[in-house]
Amino acid sequence: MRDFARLLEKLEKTDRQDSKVLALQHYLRHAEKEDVLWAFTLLLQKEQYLLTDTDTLSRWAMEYTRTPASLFFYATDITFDARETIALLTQDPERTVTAISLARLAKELSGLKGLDQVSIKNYVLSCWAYMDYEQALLFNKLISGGIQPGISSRILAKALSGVSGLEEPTLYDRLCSNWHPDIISLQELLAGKNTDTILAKAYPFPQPVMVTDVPAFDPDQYAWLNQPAGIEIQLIVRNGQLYFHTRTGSSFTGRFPELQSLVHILPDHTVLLGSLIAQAGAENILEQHLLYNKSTATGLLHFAATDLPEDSQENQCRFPYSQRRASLEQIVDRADHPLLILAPLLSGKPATAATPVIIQDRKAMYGKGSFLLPSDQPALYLVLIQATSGTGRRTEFYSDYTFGAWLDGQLVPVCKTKTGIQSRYVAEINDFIRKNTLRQFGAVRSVQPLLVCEIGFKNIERSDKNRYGISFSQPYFIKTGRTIPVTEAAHVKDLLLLAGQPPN
Amino acid sequence: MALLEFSEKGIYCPQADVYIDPWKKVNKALITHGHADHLKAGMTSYLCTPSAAPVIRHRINAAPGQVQTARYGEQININGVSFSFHPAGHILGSAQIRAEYKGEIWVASGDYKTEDDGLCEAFEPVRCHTFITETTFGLPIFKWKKQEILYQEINQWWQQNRANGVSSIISAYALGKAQRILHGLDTSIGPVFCHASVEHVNRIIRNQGIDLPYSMYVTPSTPRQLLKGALVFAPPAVINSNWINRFAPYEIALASGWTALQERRKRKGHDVSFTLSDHADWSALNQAVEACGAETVYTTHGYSDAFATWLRSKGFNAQVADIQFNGDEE
Repeated sequence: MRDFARLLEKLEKTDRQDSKVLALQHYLRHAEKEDVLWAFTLLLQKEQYLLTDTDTLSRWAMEYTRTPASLFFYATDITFDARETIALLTQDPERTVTAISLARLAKELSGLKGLDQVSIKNYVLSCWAYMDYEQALLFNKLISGGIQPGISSRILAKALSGVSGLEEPTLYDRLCSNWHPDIISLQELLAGKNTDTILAKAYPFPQPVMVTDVPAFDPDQYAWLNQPAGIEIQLIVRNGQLYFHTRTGSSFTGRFPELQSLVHILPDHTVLLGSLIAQAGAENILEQHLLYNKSTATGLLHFAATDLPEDSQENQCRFPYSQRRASLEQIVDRADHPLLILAPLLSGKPATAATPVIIQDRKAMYGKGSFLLPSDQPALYLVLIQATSGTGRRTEFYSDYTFGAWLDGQLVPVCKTKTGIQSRYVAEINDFIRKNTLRQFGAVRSVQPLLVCEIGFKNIERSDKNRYGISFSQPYFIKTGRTIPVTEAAHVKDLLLLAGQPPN
Repeated sequence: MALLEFSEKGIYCPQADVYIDPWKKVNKALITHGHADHLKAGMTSYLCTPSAAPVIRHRINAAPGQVQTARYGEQININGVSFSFHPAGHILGSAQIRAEYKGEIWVASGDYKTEDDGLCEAFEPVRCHTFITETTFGLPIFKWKKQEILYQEINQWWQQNRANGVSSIISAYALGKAQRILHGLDTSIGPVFCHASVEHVNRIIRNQGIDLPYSMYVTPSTPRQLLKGALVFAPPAVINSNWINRFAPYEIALASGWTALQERRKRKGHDVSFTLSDHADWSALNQAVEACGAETVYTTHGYSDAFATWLRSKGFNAQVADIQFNGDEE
């Protein structure tokens, strides 16, 4: 379990693929053999062990460690993750530590699924009593909110290939296939035994070329369609089984039970490319499915098909898009299933760039002649409240910022980013930080809340991992707003409105 | 009039007209220790402990007689106020400063740690009415491992790197942290090199009669073969410079209390981290406050507001000392 915790930290520390591969290989060489397959399961997010939520876990930890709520939340503003606060509070450096294996933990956690909260609480407290900080941090993450290691089957196959000497594409196919550590061993997975490798094989995803200037609208030459807002997926029907594959090589086979009925409706050996989208107001359903693998609501999700790489065992890739689209329309028509729809073609040039648009050459074969027109992204004003020095060539500068929004007359941290900032703004903000430092905590400085910045983002979501319930997805820095008064900055309640409904 | 006040120049004693750790020019400065946020050049005269004085003289480039010393426990009378220095256990010669006037006793802690590192004078609690305590790590999430365990981890890391022909670079402050780790090293593993700024301090400290393990300057003429698999101390400032290229292949370790937090560990610039701090952790801070018997506590540095709130909930008269930010901490 410790090896895996260290691996996760290394993976989270770097954005470079080669460093991730090296970290994985180090793990593969040193980890206990029985743990490796469980580690794969967790890295590829094939299995989740969500027993409780972070708020409940925090309550248990406050009670268990007798920490006042004010101190607990103060500390969480520093750690930015209640699950780490808990691990730090429950550890006892004086105690002799028992290390348990990942395989054993995974089995214990599987056995707890569906039990009542009292039993789960007792189990959690018993774990905190023997775990050290490293183990408790991983444990807390696994049971509430899950881990997001950002590892695809492709990266894993690459790492595995360096250690095992097997071919990378072969390993990739095997990792993408349907397997579970309860049933097979690592050797069997590597040898391709007891997995249905070929059946689940996905086609390569098209790589659209980004265009910034809008070309002339010509519906005869190009098909224009909105990029569906959900998650891009290949839906594969083979031998009466339904498989899901994402662009990153993750397999979500076995999820989305509401779509299972498609197996009987679609012709066998058919592969559809498209997006899983949630109905308006139910966006977090997707997240629940993907991250938490729990499906409480049905009928709020549908599949919008955009392309057809394979139809009834016949490879369609060499046919032009117009022909594939016609076959696709037929399939969707014949299926007549409320959850299976066609991504509609646009009848004219889109007036606003609210969603990205795909422009597909009608004569091109599969994966070719595809262009992407990105959307305008929203932005709002937040106030700089903390800064940390950057990395690489920005080591000497404060270039990693925490921004605050108003809550009851106070600025509270809601967003961190270091993305997109230009050097002239770095210089300006550093000057500001030096003159306005309030206090210093190691490498972090808190500053007078005087500087308003414009922050762009892809989306705002509800999150119970953030103390104020807000999570920015892909926030990036646009510019400073020296002349904008601090009172103009966003309020937490507005952000919550933007984020929509809380996840259940 | 309070015995000690928080002024814009430092902690001030109006009765004696002296400052503790001032950061603007004053006549008389009492210095707790030689770290840059406690010691500024330009005061007319300085008073510190004998074991802190050599480094302080070196750092401010002192004129003869400018830095005077008082032994631990020695009473210095200034206009009726009796001052004395008491071990703080932070670095060699670091002190808490006690001030007594007409039966009222205040103690300014400076920086301190309660664990005895075997190198500097061990922390001693001083009874007082009012305690000004540092709270750099004043949150219950900070709990230090025993130093023996950390030294063992550091030695293991070095040994493994040496076996792989990799140099081990420790990023640590030139004064204090570097000597503490050097003192805890198993030097039978291999040779130890230091960046000049660290080795200067090492030599000053060895000249004081302190038994530090042998270490060498890194010079342009040092044979590369000798650097392979060696342990190297470098101040954080040179970690990002070309200076460390000569050690390639190398691994960089960061030794700091802040690496208790995953957010800090994930920052780039180091490969491994050791949570070794020269400050008191949460339980040590609480013990120190209890042991000095003070009714009034002022908190300064780090999480001073959270710690003051906590102490108030425990019945202390506690508040945040109104001290402005004055430079980088060490």
